[in-house]
Parts: sequence; C-alpha cells; structure tokens
Amino acid sequence: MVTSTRTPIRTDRLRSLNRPKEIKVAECTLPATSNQLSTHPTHPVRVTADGQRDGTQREGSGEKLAAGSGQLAAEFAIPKTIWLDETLRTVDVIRELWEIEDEWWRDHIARRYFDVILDGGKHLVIYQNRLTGKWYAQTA
Amino acid sequence: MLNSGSPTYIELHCHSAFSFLDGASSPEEIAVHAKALGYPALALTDRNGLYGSMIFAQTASDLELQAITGAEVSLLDGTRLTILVENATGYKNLCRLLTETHLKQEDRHDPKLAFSSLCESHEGLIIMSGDRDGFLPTELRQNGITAARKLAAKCLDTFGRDTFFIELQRNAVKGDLKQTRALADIADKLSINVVATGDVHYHTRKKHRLYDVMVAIRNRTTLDGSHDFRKPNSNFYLRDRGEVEFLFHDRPDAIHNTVVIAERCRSFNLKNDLGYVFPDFKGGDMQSAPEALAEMCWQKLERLYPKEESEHRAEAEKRLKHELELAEHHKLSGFFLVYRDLMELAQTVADDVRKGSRRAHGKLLPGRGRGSSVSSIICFFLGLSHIDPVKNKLFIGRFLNKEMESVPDIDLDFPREIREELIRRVYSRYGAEHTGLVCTFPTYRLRSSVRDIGKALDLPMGEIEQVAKLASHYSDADQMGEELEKIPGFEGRSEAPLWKDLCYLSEQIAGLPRHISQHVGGMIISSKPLVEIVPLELSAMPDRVLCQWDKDSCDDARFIKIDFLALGMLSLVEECVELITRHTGKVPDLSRIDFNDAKVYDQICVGDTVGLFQIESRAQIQMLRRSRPRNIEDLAVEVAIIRPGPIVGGAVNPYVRRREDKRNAEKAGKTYKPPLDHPLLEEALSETMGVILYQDQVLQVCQALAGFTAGQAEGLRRAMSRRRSREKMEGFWEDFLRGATERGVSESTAKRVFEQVIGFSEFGFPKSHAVAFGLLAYQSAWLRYYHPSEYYTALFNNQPMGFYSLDVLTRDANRHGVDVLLPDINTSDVYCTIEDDALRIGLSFVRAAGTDVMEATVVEREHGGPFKCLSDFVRRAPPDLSRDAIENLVWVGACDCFGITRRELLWQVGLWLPPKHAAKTKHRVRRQMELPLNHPHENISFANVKADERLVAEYQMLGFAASGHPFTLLKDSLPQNLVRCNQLEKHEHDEIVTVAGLVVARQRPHTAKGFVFVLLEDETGMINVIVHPDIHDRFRIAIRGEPYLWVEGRLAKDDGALNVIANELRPLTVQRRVPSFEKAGQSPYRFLKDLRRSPPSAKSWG
Repeated sequence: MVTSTRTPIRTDRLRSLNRPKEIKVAECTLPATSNQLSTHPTHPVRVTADGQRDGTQREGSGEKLAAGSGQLAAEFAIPKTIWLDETLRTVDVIRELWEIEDEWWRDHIARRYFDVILDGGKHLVIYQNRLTGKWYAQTA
Repeated sequence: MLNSGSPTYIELHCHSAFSFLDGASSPEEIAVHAKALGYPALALTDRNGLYGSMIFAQTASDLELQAITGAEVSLLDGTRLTILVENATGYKNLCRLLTETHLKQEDRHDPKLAFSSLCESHEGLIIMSGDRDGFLPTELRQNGITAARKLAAKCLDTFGRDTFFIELQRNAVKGDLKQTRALADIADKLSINVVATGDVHYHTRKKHRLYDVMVAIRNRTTLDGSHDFRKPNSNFYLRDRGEVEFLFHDRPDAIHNTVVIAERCRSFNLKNDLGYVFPDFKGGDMQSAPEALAEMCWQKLERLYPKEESEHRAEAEKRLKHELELAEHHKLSGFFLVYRDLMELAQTVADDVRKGSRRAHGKLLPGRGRGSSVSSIICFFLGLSHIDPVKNKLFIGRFLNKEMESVPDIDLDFPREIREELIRRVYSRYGAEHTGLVCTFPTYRLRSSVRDIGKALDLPMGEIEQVAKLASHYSDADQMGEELEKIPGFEGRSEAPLWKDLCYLSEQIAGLPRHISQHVGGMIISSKPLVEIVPLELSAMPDRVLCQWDKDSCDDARFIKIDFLALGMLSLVEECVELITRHTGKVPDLSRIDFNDAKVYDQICVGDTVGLFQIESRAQIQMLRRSRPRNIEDLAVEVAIIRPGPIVGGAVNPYVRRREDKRNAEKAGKTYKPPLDHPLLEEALSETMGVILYQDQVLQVCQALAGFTAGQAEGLRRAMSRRRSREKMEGFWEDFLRGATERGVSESTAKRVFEQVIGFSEFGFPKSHAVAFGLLAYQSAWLRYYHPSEYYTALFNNQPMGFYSLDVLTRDANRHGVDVLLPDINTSDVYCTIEDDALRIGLSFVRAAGTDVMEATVVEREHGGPFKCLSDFVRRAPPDLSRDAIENLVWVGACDCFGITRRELLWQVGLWLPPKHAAKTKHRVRRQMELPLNHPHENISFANVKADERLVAEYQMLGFAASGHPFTLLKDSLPQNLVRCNQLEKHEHDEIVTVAGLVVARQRPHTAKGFVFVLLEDETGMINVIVHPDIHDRFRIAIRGEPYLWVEGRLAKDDGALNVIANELRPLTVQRRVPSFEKAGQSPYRFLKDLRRSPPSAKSWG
C-alpha cells in the first residue's frame, strides 16, 4: 500500500534515531593543546565510571563548588576518553563546546555539550547533564 | 604580560539593573561582589545610559575599587558597541553621544546612535567591538570574515590602534569558539588589540533566573515565549578572575589589555571630575554676589521692618546679618540671586498666563515657597517665601547652618499652568544644553513584581490581579511569600510550583529599578553645558528633557537642584479668584483677608473640611474635632501633626490631651504650663505642648538636651532627608546619651526623648513648611466658606486632587448649598461652570467625550446657536464626536433639553448613526445624506429611564452621581437595624451598632501597625471604621475589593470623634423584593448589582 503524501511525518520515529544514549566517560582533562580545544595546559581530571567528577556540581544539585583547580575542573574539564558500545574511544578533536541552562521553571535543563571527533573519525555530540552528572551521546 | 602569580583580569563589560530589564543586579551588589572577588577595578557599561554610574562610583569609592565609567551604545543598524571613558574629554564626549542616542530618535523607547557621530567624537574614549550582537560580531555573522575584516580596518583607521579593541567573550554559547577564533584572526591580521570581556548581566550565577524573567518582561512575553531572546545559559555572571584567565589562557594579551585599559581609565573619576558650576546671577559683571545680595536684603528690611514701627526690627536685623554671614561663608550669595532671577522669570510667566483674565488684578503671587527655605529671611526678602520668618519664629538651622556640607534646597510651588510655562522659559533662558529635569527610577515593589513576574511565569491573569489587589500596598516585593499566606485562597501557594518561583524571584527583584521617570519638580541648571556632565533624554511628557540621574545621584554630583513643584491647590485658588471676580465683579486679595475669622475656624473645628487643602483627610477631620484650631499657628500644627514622624514619635495623643487641658485651664482662668521631659527642652518644645512636631525641633532638642554641635546637628539633618534614615539617625544615640549625661539628664529621660527624635526618621515637616501650608489651608477654607459655588467649581475643574473622589465632593457641595447640575448640551461649557449659584458639570466630564472635541462642540454652539434637536446636534457636532460619546451624553441627561425622553433620544441616535461595529473610521459618519427631512421613525415614543437607571448611568458615564446617594433609592431595602451616620451621635459609647455605606477611602498607614481605616458614606454623612489587623485578615476580600460594605462593630466616642471598631464586615446585601421598588417594576437587588459593576472610584492607600 502506498502511503498517502498527507500522512504526517512520524517525528517520534525520527527522534528515536537520535535519542541520546547514556555513555561513560573514562577520563577528563582540562583543555589541552595539540589535537584538542586550544592551547590550554593539560590537567587530567578523574571522572568515575558513573559520570561523577571531583565533587563539584552546579546550582540545583545541592553540592557546593570546591575552590581552586577543582572548581576549574568542574567548569572546564573536557572528555579525553569515553566508553562507547563497550569500547574505550579517545576524543581526538573537540570541534565546539557550549552550555545550555534553561527551562528551570518546568523541567530544569543544565547541560554541557561537546561536538567531538573520536579516534577513527566518528563524529559525535556528547553532553553531560550537569544536574545528575551523567553523560550522553547523540549523533552529530 | 600575564602575571603568573595573582590574577590580573579586570571586567570591562558589565550591566547593572540600570540597563533596565537587561541586568539583574544593582550597581552596589556588583561593586561589593567585585571587591570580594579581588577585582581592583571594574567598568559599568549599562545600555545607552549612565543611570547607575554615580551610585556605582560612590559605592566603589567606599570600597577602594576603581570605578570605570562606560556604556553600551546601540547603533542605528541595531548592533552595539562598548564605550569606556579614559579622561574628562572622553566623559564629555560620551555624555554628548548618549544624549544624541536618545534625543535624535523619534521613538524615545528606541535610542540609537549614528556610527558617524561616534567617529566624530571619540576623543578620550576607548571603543570596544561589542558583545555577540555587537558591531563587529554581527558583521562577521551576517556578511562573513572578509566584510568583518574590512569593517575592523575601517574602525582601526577611524579610531586608531590605541582606541579600538576587539572584544573576545567566552560564555560557552554555541558558536563562541568559532567566533572568537575568527575575531582573533581579524585582530592579528590587522594588528588590532584584543580584550577579554565577560558580558556580565548579573553578579552571581544564582541571579540568572531573574535575568531570564527580566528578558521575558522586556519583550512583553512569557518565559516560554522568550526562547529566542534569552541567553542560552547562566554564564553571564561576574566570574572569578582566575577562571577568566584560564578561559583566555590561549590569549594572554586579551587579559593583559584589560589591565592596560583600566590603567588608562584611572585618570577619570566620576566623583570629582564633573566640573559642574551653577550659573552666575544677572548683573554679576557689575557687582560681587555678596554685595548685591546684601544691598538687596537691607533695602527690603527697611521697607518691611521700618525702624521704630516694627516690633521685630531688631530681631530681623540680627537674623539677616547671621544669614548673610552664612551665605558668604558657604559662597551661596550667587545661588540666592539666581533664585531671585528665576522668581522674576516666574512673575513674568504668571503675568503672561493671567493676561486678559480678571484675576490678573488679584495680587496673586506667581508661586510660593515651601519646605525649610521658608524659614530664611533672605528667601523672604527675595520673594522666594511669603511667610515672615521672624514673626512666625521659624528656626533657620534646618535650612542653613555653618557646618552644612551640601547646598540647601529651595522648593517653590506654582499653579500647574504657570509651572508648565516656567519650565519652558527656563529652557530658553539658560539654553536646552544647560538644563534638564531630575529623573526618578520607579523600583519593583510587591504589586509591580507580582504583575510582571506573574505574567512572565504565565500564572493565571485573574489570580495575579487578585494578589496585586488584595496584598498590602506597603509590602515590599521580598515579602511576597508572607503576603500570599495572608490572602484568602492563596494559603500554601508559596510552596506550589511557579508560585514558589514567584516568591523567590520577587525577593530578588525587590528594589531594582524598572524604568526611568520624571521627578516631581527637580530641575538642574548648569553654567557649563549640562549635556557634557550627564546624558539627557526625552521625558514621556512632550518638550521635557530628563537628565539620567535621580535626586540622590544629583546630590552626590553636588548639582544644585531647583524644585519647581506643581501644586493643584494653587491652580484651584487661581481659578476660584477668577470665578469670584467674574461672578461678583470684585477681585479678592487673599493676602489681606481676615486670618482670624471665627466663622471659618468654627467650620474647621467641627471637621467640616472636605475638599480643603491639607486638612481634609479622615485622620485630619478627627484631629480637628479634638484639637480645635483657632489661628494660623494652630493650623500649621494640624498640617504637621498627621505625619509619620509625629505619629511614630508618639506626639499626637499627648499634644491633643494637653491642648484640651490648656483649654480647660484657660476657661477656669488659670495659666497652663505643658509638662516637659526635661526643663532644658522648654525653649524648643513649649510652643508645641512639650512634644516634637516639627523637623527643626529635632535639631533644637538635640542641641538643648545633648549639646549637639552644629556639625552633629547637620549630620542629623542630612540623615533625616536620605534613604535609610532610621539606621543613620540611630547612629547618633551614643553621642546623644553622652551629651545628655553631661548635662545631668538621666538615661531614661534621654532614651525617651531620643525615641521621639528617631520618630522623625519617618517623615515630618519643618515648621516653615507647615506654616506655609497652614496659611494656604486657611485661604482654601475662607474661599469655601464665603464663595462655595466658585470653590466647588474650581475644585471639580482641578481634579485629580486631595483625599476624596468627585462622588463625595458632589454630596459635600450639596451639603454646602451648592447644587450640582448634570451636563446640558446647550448650557454646559467644556469644564464646570457656575449657573445661578449651582455648579453645572462640564461636557468633557462625560466619558468618551474628550476635551478637544467638546471644545469644538461648544464653539459650534456659540457660532450656530443652540442645538434644536438631536438630529441638529448630530448634524452640527464635530466629526470626531463618536457615537459612544453622544450616547453617553444622552444617558447622563445632557440632551434632556430637547424635550423628549432619554430612551427616545437613544432610539434617534440609532436612526441617525450607523451601528458601532459598522464604523470604519473613528470619525462619526452619518447614515444618510444631509437632508432637512425628519426620519420617518423619529417620533416613536418610549418611556423615560427610571431613577435607579439614571443613577447607574451617572456612575458609568461620569464616574460619580450628581443625582444623589444610591442609599436614597435603596433605603427601604437596606438591612434592618442599620444606624445612619447622622444618628450615631445619639448612641452610647461602646454600644454595638451596624452601619453600611459606600466605601470612600481605604487606608492602611504603615505607621498604624496593621490597622486599616475604612471611610464609609451613607446618604446622611460619613463614618470612620477601624479594622483590627486580625479582622482585616478575616475579611480582607470584602475590605479591599467591595464598594458597598455592611459593618457591625463597637461605637467609640472620644472627645467629639466617632469611630466604629469593626467586628465583622460583609458586602452589603439588600432585600430582593420591596414594594416601593416593585411598583415601578424595579429590583433593589438588580440595582445594587449594577452599582457594583460601575463603582465610584474609592481612594486606597496601603
């Protein structure tokens, strides 16, 4: 049967193609030189497998920001290696990063996005939900 | 060079709340937070203005933080640039540019600057390329890197390498990385310096929610509707300096340049480098100011206090010498003389305004002094005051003393029309560039915040309005949660979704400025162009220009503020004199009337003062009945006593009791000596029965009891007139106690007296002001007593004014024998007129009938003769007279003169004019060609409208009822056992009574500890109902919203004053069926319902 041209597009199906998938970030660094963001010095920051970092969370999470490098780490750390489909992948390039904080009057959204290229050339957008600390990936 | 140790970054792009809904923190918050973060300097760059710069500079100076002055300027193409001031020339240029931004635009809400203007006047300025919507980033985004490079090269050529900087911002907005890379690339290729900025819109991250709400408010939409306008994240706060340096670690030069710029801007300090100079007086080239002033004053002294004739001569001489010394000491001689020039100008204006009118011969002053300046003999001699300070024993120290640090205020009152013209003449005399009106910044309070934030959060409109209406008007926005708990139906809401946000955000927005407005009368004149000292912009009123600083900033800038205030009562007096002259042929000279007329005082003493100046309020009427004034000095006390200062200081009841004791003592032939807290206070307080009633007495008491020096007294004087005066005045307690102890005063006495002193941190009058107003109060009483029809006519024509609505004034006029006649299309004028001792309501009082169109109607009537019938009226009236206006005129009886019923008239309107929905323009269009024929259906007859319909129509079309009180029609249907106001006198004190009436006024003074006063009026008079706070909370909806109330309570009788202390308040109900109504086919229930739909305006405070 030929589908009528008037049949509405099933946006729910389209969405499912790019539905964010939870991932684990193995290691974070402060923005490094060479292949990553810019000319910042490397400063590794450990991120646990469940996505939690050095005890630093944003407003609304109930925890206080730590001072000094911990705070910088919380604010500016970028993923270095991630677990994707049970494989440890290295982030080669971060093409862009940005933050969203919105909808606080309804369902609070606070995310830090990274438009990355992994080893092997895979192009991905990953983000961290700054309220839960969890990481997600979606196709770019 | 980047300092590898401590951070070096300085923020150079920062908005405060004075960017008006584009910044969520006050300049003070920003300065304090910057200091806490270790910033040595910070630039405030509000949008198109320097509104908050002086506050910022003052706060920063106290914190030893370098305040850099700047602004973000909108350009004609919608982009923006950030401009900083490097030196005094730059400041002058920035002020001129900002003024041009505002004055050269047709729409005053959309200030924009031509880039070419900036190119011409950029000396002394540092220009930065702007934020994401800035000049260069927008070009880059819209037209690509080549166009952006070209534009940057043009800026480099125009401004030079030292002046033009490219701003790099990293707030983690999508596209930032690419954009800053491209901008840095352009800068490197053209060797332009880059500078890091933070585009700060709030001082801490937690304020980002408020900022989001402000964006929604600014765009008149909800949060959901403002996605396109809001910032994408919460990174627009004042960051830790180390954090910013880390963000820009790849561009250390961008960080370093912030320090370079701050260093360059160090040479300009807004606090000290303005160079404001007050204009010189006329004739300054021939004689020095002190000589000229002294000569003028001594000549006047000879005339007003002739030797051997005047009992006050010696005192006047002594006083003048003292004041002239003080004037010379503070270099104020020129200041006084300029005021004299202004008063002469006012006299010319008054002569021009009154030219051709009969009151031109009435010896009316162009204006009058008010406030503390009335106590100065120099002001008296220069015509700036009309009160003799020697005869009235006025204390000069409140106005002028040796230790004073700022220039004293001279406030002048004028009739409205003279003031309007005077402001225009001052502009033309001193030049538009040298003159500006002082502005004010209305701030967010509870009602404004619930309305604005509530709409942004998309809360139900009905509920928002309910909260705005039912909440206490005195509550601040930060008390939203507490207020919600008190409003019936909103308990627990403060924890509900969105309402919780409303409470949180209201707390944050409390006290922040919303927009710029015009101060009541302050004007700044400068000999150096004002436009180079503070930016100017258009006011909402045509032909007015505002300076961007409010009263306090102007004071901090040491500007001399001239207060030209419009006083409605002076306009009323002018008109009243004109009407009396026309009516009687004689011009009354108000300066020579009998100021001790017993008949006038008798009327005042029984509280018959509705419509009089300053002594008409509910509280004043009660006070008059108890204190019974018999001369101008007593009236000055009346004017001063019902003010927060004496009330909080506990002066009112002791004063009234002691006056009564004095009366009784005098009756018994004894002398009365009022009790004093300490004998040292005798000189200061004996004339006011031992209590502090006037501001000047605060200084006198402190000097007499605690030995305050003139310097301490000056500090106290300044504390009284500034914000947060209570805290400032409390700071004097230790000095007060020490001084009092040295004089042998016990601590308890000192404490009791100091409590009264602190009371004046609330508001109080100086005696000079009270005497000036007391005199005007008497003159208004005299005019009303001897010329009631002229007085009420002038009172109607000069509304809005005073405590009562026109509805109450109408019945008060009736009580004084003045009939109020409904408008008549063939006899009424545009405004109210006198017709055989009655007051004929003017045609422009009818809703939808504007002044201009009614003027044209009256002109047509005068040219073409009276209108003969409705069709004649419809044919000849100006086309702008709408069908609505004609119908309204018919409803209120303005066309009754055509001899047919109002229903027949309304029918005819329908025949001659097309229905409203068919009207294509606002002009009235006739249905058919102009034929001299009657309409075939013209003569159908209808019954006339009934009395209750007429009354409702009057409320709907006029806003008040000229035909009488609604209770005269409702009397048979009102609840049983109701006591009429004029019968309350016959009931016993403490007896339970029920009263009902129309709500005339609701007051919840902030000094009354939560008590509410409701003034009710029935067909026989008025009664004051006192509502205890817990009763108010129980019946809040009825008290705050109901126009007709039924009250049960206890009658309180106290020395002639009657009050009902309410136990229960309910909306008034009436019987559904009453024979007298039924006979006429009417229903009292329906009538009351209709009345409730169009209630007369009640005045509500608090």
